[in-house]
Amino acid sequence: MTSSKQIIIIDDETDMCWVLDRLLRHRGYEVATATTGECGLALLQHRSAQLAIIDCKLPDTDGLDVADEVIKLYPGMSLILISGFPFAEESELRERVLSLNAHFLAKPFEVADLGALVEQIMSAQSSGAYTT
Amino acid sequence: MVSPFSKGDFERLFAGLFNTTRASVLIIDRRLHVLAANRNFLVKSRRVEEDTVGARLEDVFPSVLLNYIGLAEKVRTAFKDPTFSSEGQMTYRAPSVPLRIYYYLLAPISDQYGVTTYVMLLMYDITEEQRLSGEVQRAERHLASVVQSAGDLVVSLDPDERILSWNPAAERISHYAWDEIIHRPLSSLCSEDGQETMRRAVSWLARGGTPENLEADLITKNGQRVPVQWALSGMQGEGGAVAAIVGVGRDLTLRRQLEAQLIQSAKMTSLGVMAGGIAHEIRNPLGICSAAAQLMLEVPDDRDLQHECAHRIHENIKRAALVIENLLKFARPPEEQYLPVDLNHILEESLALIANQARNQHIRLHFNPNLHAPSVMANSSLLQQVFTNLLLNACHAMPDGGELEVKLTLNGDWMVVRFSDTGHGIKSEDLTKIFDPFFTTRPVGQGTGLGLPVSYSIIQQHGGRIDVESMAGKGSTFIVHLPVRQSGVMHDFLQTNHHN
Repeated sequence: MTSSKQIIIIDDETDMCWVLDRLLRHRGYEVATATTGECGLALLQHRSAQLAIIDCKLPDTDGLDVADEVIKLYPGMSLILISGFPFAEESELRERVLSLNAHFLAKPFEVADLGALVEQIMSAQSSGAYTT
Repeated sequence: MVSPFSKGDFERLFAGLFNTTRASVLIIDRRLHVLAANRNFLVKSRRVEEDTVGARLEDVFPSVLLNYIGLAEKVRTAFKDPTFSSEGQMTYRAPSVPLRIYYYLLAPISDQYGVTTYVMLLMYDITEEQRLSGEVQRAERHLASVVQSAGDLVVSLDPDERILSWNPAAERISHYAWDEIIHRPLSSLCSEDGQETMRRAVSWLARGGTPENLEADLITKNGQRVPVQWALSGMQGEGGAVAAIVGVGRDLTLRRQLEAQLIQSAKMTSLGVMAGGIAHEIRNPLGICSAAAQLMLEVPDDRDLQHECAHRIHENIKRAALVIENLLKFARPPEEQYLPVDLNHILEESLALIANQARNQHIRLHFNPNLHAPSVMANSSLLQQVFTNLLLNACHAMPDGGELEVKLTLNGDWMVVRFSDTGHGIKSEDLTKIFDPFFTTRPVGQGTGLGLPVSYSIIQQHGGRIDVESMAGKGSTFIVHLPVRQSGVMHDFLQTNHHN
């Protein structure tokens, strides 16, 4: 394990990847971004990330399917799913997020909320609450 | 006087004429007694010669009649004035005979010295003629009142298209009184784009053509445009030549308003379908702006980062604004203008509106603009509504993703737009019903069944048509044909722009 503070971001919006990358780096995390599900899964092979932030809608495949795949390959990974669809309006989305044991953030989100959520997840990860 | 007749001949001739004429004739003497009555009079009045000849006038005619036309007075005047004559109508009922109407003529008969010796009363029975002309009048009045009270415009034109008659409905709808438009060509009251159509139809009918149905807007006296559907037919005169053209016009204003409401409500349904996708389309740039602004606040001293954030915020605000702009453009009720439009442009705008919907469903969109496509006369917002509807339908047919291809080609005088999807297709038994209003295969609340009928009617208004090819399980292709024919209006428009 090269670092205990690695985060992967998978979002087809390059601007969203950029701003999340800067925000999280500013908080001291190491960040890698991908704009497709395929690239995201490839990135994970070479990084030992503790958290993946995934947009629910990706151009090549459903973000939720990517999240399924990630959990299958890396069972200890924490997930934050983000979407332009609000959580409450989409019962199917809610079911999937709950079944993945993932966190959810609706766009546009408060950076403070994201920061707090990431902080909470990463400290739990390093304290061994999540095990790989 | 030289006469071929002898005196005896004259008497026989007189007696013959007197008794065979269809008129009833009485000869009256100075004492107002009947000197002679012809056979016709006796038959009509059911009298015999014995109680008539020699009788007083008041014994032959009922006193009511005598007084009514003042017969005795007139006879007396005729004896005094040899130039006097009197004519008129009278009704006479002989005992047990139905009422008859007579034309009468009272004329003095003078001797060789110019002195009135007798007065002759001639009576023609005109009962039948009166009855027939009354019937003709009644029929004419009835026909006239049909035309007068019709709710539709009823117009007659001479073969040179000049207005001959103009009913009250035409006056009410056009605000032109009959005497203001008489002899004006009907086409001069039509809108610019309807004039040629009207002229051509009337000239076709004037040459003996079959009845024509057409739509030509009327421009009212106060400059308003009234859509009118005309049924024109030729009216044959004696000898079979076309004597006049009859036009019956129906005011389509109300129907157009209803159609416009229907179009608008179908559009709102499309908007409802797109709403989720559109919300997502706006939340994405909003999410970026929001996060970037908060990043700026967190790192106030990094000038490069501040600059980069501001740049990205600006770009994403423009993106969201464009989504809203497209949405409003789509939602706005269409203007009535038909202008030359580039179908590439309308297709690109429609594709942009549904792009997010397609991306969410993993549908790949394929469209290569056809740079050689001529423009067509169209109402761009109505066409955009049709294209958007067809694209949304295609997306709906591919819930699990697929390919949606749009192709724009020129085929003779037609621009052809093909929308092909790889979706579930349409069952062959449904193919004939898909353009029927309220036909839908979607669950209650998810489809109104108005999208395709409204699209069909819009394309029809543009002089085009929509065809469909489909195979259940393989996908569907909707083919829109639009005419590229340049109308006079378009020609003028191009000329004007060319000179500018």
